[in-house]
Amino acid sequence: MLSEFEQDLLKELGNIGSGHAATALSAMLSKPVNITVSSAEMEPITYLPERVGGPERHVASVLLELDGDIRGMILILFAVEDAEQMVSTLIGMPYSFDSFDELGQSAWEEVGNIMSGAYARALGDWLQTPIMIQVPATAIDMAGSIVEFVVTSVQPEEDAALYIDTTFMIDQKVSAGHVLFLPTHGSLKRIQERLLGNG
Amino acid sequence: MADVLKIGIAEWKQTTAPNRLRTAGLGSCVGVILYDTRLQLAAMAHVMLPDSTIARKNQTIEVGKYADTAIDALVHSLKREGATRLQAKMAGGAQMFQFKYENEAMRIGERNAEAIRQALKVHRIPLVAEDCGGHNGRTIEFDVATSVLSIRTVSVGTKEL
Repeated sequence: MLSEFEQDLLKELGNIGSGHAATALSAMLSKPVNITVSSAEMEPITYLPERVGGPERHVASVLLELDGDIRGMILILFAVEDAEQMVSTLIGMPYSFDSFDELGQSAWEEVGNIMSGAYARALGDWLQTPIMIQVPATAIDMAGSIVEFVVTSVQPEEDAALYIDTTFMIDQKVSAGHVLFLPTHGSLKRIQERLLGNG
Repeated sequence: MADVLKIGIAEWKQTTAPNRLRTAGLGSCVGVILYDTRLQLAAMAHVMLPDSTIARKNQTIEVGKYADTAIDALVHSLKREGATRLQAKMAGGAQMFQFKYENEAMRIGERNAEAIRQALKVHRIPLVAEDCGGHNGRTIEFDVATSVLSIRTVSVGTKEL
């Protein structure tokens, strides 16, 4: 597990990424956006469904694959109501994911694209290494199903993920977002080396 | 009083009627149930990966995590309780995200389901019903008394196998 010093550094990474994400989201929605990081830590993957509101919690998610020096995935989860709020703001009319049509899907993809890209850039800047990203994929479903799919796809033999708890204030409305960074085994080692200053 | 036993990722549990077995939020994982109707006995595993040989050396293997070791464990445990005529049902193995460029690791759901089918064949256990694949997460609950498997998805609602 990580030392307190390493945890602080990870929280700092979470803060930087969230700062980038807030700026990008604010420009996109033309609304003031404020993101605060309440915690950032390594968590055993089996706890993750509980941390995001239970395995059956209905969530909207964005999954971004990272390639290059650091490989892995960034997963962002929002309660469906909060994601609907963001999409409604973006398209300028009330929107429900019950009718997840092309408009809603592309709007949510856009939100996800901007946010996950911001975290990926922050990570690359912080580690001083270029990180390549693909177009993110989205899914609206049970939190447990989404988390386990990601965990098994990225790192079947790893037992922990970096978990960042965030609070988004968009236009005075508060929503809780969860950002999970799951590096592959080799990449986690590189990050830890970097954290300890000998990377 | 009937209890509902909850099975987490990579876990497995066994029980008798009138209890039920439940696992929530299956994505690429597969929930598999082996049961003996005569004894009103059943066991469920929440399988995460197809094959235990990919586990790193010197690592303690969680038997419920892999298709091969999970089926072996369920069969062994149920037979110890006197089960002779085992049957199976399973659900899960979804592809939760659709990427432009898919790699092998992303078809893990499909591979989990196939690995379980193979393991059941080895033990000559008939697979009575299954609901695998697709793009939806599933929560499943097995009623040991009736052998009915309820499957709930966010988009489709509940169905029974």
